[in-house]
Amino acid sequence: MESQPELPIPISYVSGRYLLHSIEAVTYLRREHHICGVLIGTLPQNPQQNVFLGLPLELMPEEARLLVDKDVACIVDEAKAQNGMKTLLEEDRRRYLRELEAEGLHYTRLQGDLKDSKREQSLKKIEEKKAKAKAVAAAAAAQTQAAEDTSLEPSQKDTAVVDLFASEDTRSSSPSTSTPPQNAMAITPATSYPPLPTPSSSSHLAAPAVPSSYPLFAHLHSRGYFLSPGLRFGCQYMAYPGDPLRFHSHFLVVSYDWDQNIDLMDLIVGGRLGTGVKKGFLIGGAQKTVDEVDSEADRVDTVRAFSLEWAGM
Amino acid sequence: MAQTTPPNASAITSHMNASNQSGPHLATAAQVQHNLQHQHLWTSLTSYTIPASTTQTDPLNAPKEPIALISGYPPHRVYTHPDEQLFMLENKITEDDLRPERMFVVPTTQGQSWSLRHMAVVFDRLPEFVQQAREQDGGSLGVKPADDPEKREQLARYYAKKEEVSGTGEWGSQHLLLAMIDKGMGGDGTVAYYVVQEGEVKPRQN
Amino acid sequence: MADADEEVLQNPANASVQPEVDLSDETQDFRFLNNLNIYADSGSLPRRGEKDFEPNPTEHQTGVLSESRRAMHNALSFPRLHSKKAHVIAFYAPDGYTPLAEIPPPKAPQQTDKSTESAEKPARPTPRSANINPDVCVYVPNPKGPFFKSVGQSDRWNRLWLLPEEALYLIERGSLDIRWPSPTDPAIPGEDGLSIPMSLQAAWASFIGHGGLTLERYSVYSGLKRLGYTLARAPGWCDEAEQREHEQNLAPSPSYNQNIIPKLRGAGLAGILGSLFNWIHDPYSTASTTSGPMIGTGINRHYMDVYRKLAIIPWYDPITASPSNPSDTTAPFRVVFHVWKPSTPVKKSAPPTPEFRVAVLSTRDQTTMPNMTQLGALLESTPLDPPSGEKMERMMYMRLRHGYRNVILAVVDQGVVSYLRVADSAFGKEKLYENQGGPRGPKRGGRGYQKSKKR
Repeated sequence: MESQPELPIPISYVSGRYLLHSIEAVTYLRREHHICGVLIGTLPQNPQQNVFLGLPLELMPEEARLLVDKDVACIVDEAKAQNGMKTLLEEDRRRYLRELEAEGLHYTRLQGDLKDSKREQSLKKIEEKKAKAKAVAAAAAAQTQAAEDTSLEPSQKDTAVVDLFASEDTRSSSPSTSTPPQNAMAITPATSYPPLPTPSSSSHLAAPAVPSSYPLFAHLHSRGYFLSPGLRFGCQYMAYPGDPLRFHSHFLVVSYDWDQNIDLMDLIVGGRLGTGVKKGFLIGGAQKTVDEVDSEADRVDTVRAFSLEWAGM
Repeated sequence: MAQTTPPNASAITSHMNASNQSGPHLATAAQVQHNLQHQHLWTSLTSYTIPASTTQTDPLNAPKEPIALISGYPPHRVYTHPDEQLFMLENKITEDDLRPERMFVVPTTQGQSWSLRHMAVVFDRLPEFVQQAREQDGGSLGVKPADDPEKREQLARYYAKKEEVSGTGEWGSQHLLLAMIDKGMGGDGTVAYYVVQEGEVKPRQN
Repeated sequence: MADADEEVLQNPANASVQPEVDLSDETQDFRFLNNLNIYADSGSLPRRGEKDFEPNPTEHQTGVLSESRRAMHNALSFPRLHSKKAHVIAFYAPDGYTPLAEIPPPKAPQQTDKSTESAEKPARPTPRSANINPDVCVYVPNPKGPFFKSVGQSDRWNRLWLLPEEALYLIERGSLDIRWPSPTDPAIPGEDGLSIPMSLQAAWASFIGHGGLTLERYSVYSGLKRLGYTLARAPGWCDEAEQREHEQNLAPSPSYNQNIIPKLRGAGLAGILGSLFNWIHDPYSTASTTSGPMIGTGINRHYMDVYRKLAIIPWYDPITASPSNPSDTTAPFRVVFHVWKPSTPVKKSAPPTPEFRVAVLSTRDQTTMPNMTQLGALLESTPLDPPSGEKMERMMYMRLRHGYRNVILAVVDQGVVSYLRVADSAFGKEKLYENQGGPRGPKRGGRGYQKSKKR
């Protein structure tokens, strides 16, 4: 879990957007670089809801740019890279299919184990119920017991599910299965690497183009804030003091150019909205324009920001 | 046609005429000052002007129009940083124990040109005005003598901490009030006040 | 200073009206995903996790955070497995629909085969295949299971052809095993026993950008599909270039066009000015603006008559406005999806009237609010949907809220989707003076452009 993927992490450039498909990359970037992105995919285990979403992770161009500038990531034209599937040698294809089959067998066995343990559980429950039926006289005591049983049930299931995710170590511990190995389950792999080789550095695309709000984004990120898209609150970014998994956001962020006219009414609107949800309204921007400095990174150093809150008077 | 006489000028108009302010920025300042004095009961109001700059190429230069500034003493504290509030709570200090603080206000009006440059210039010049005001106020507004020795000790601790964190941003940074007059459709005299601080200062939670 | 609003601001906890909590609004604590019973299909959602205001150096907080991250890691690593029972295989066909060759062509003269293929295709259009959308890119040779009831188009070999969004959604939820075409012979994909399953990553890379499917459109599609809605592409799907071409093909005659255009213009500003002009010259009106009192000199026996005469400002009546066609809209303010509620049965071959019409906007491409022309054209491209029913009849604000035409804007900001319902309310039709006891209905609402979150 605390593993570090190979750097630079390839970010898939698909139709003008930036996507991440590798769970290792997503976990690593969140933990080490405070890059959260937005999950936009369907979770196969819970496909009919929008509260918890799955991979891929969509990155803002700002996030992708920041990672590329730090040499942590690179941009890959994914549709082009996938063309590599056409030229894959037959030998490689066979090897890949064998690997998938082995993985599928592993899951088949795991599921068999799961079924067995579930059957055991339900058998046990039936026996318990029978025992309870016999002990009708002690009805009151039996009832409390039943309540305890049902409350236990979901957590047992949870453990079983978590086991399914656990990596290598459980694989080796699973041969003690009572069910004979069946045909391997088919798998839809999460990524295409393997069978495709890591894209060569010559195929990397240029650093992503970023909007004029990038200096403020990078400035806040350098101060330890986690940033996410601001649509929900009608601003450009939301700034969180820690991982949004655990913390509420502190600021609604809007960037301005240094001499861009600010409609004072917008400050009131933002300040009022922010105060209403216990957040600050933060405006800021780089003092220097792109022509005045060598790189975007230099502009980040010239950023000044201001926090606004309703004064209550 | 009957001869009509214009109605008497309103209190605020008379005030603005009397304060002999020419130019829209200064008229706005006069109106905000009036509001602070009479609606919010501020005292010792003083006004300042940040002169305009002739050039705008240097990002640190002042904008092309002058910016007015007002300072005064509010009857109650307008802003307390959440961590300062926590410290006060832990040390059983209430707002009433503390000496009043002069607060600075930037008067603005809807439709006025404003930018980050304006904001930055105000904050850059602020320490100068704070110093000026301190000299002007002298020692007249010193610490209220606390009778209780325990309270005296708590206050001493508070002021020591306040001195310690000044400049670190731990209890917030330089701050001022942005006052905006609504002049849409002639305006109704409403002035909205917002606390502006330099940098990222976490919001209050109450 | 102390109006009620501000008190609510100062003490949000005391606010009597608690805002609706939409769990999908915020980043969720994945620890709570474990509460979702994976084996039961009950749709009960976990409770919102408690979050902290700011990080502190306690071990407890660090512990909870790494626990949350681990839960997230586990949830996102869940594999997509296809059990034998429910294994549906599909094939990727990057070139779109291709008829099945009844007699497999001999392998040797492949080049000649290719050149004849293009000539052959239009020569034998089968009735069913002719209607297959040119954007399809995946086919299912043996479609079975509940997912194919509302998606896909069948050809005469009983293969089901899927649009990119349909294929991507199915592979995402683990319901479809898509295979790469065989590299040796794309005509007979995967029949050499070496067909490689397409990864999820490959599916996103191949399907997004195919046939007008932007990431934003797909985010809206999959988000609504996950909630059980039925979606279909609307005629506005094609981008401007294609649209124009399409129109040229459709245009019956130049005279038809000439007739229609001035009519459309008439609905705009000119129409309003025109009706004002008509009013001034209305011979039956007792009022006169050129001289004398506004309500005329006649005897008014009822206040209603007076009010009626005072109503001199012309207003827009959505019922009489002539409908426009979708090509008057400007991208992205154009309906791209027709949507039906989960409870509505939708037959693929004959879908009922759409219940919602959705336009998709990306905040990175469209950074400004739509102007009145764009929004007006978008609304006019939707059919008249006047308020109806006993409740609407009774409640004025519900009528205003519902409007006479409506459309849903799905605004997508880097994967975060917000839905806004825009309706044109006919305030002019609500004669308040005819209402004896004043306006009735729910206290809130009654704004011109009603914003409401669709659940």
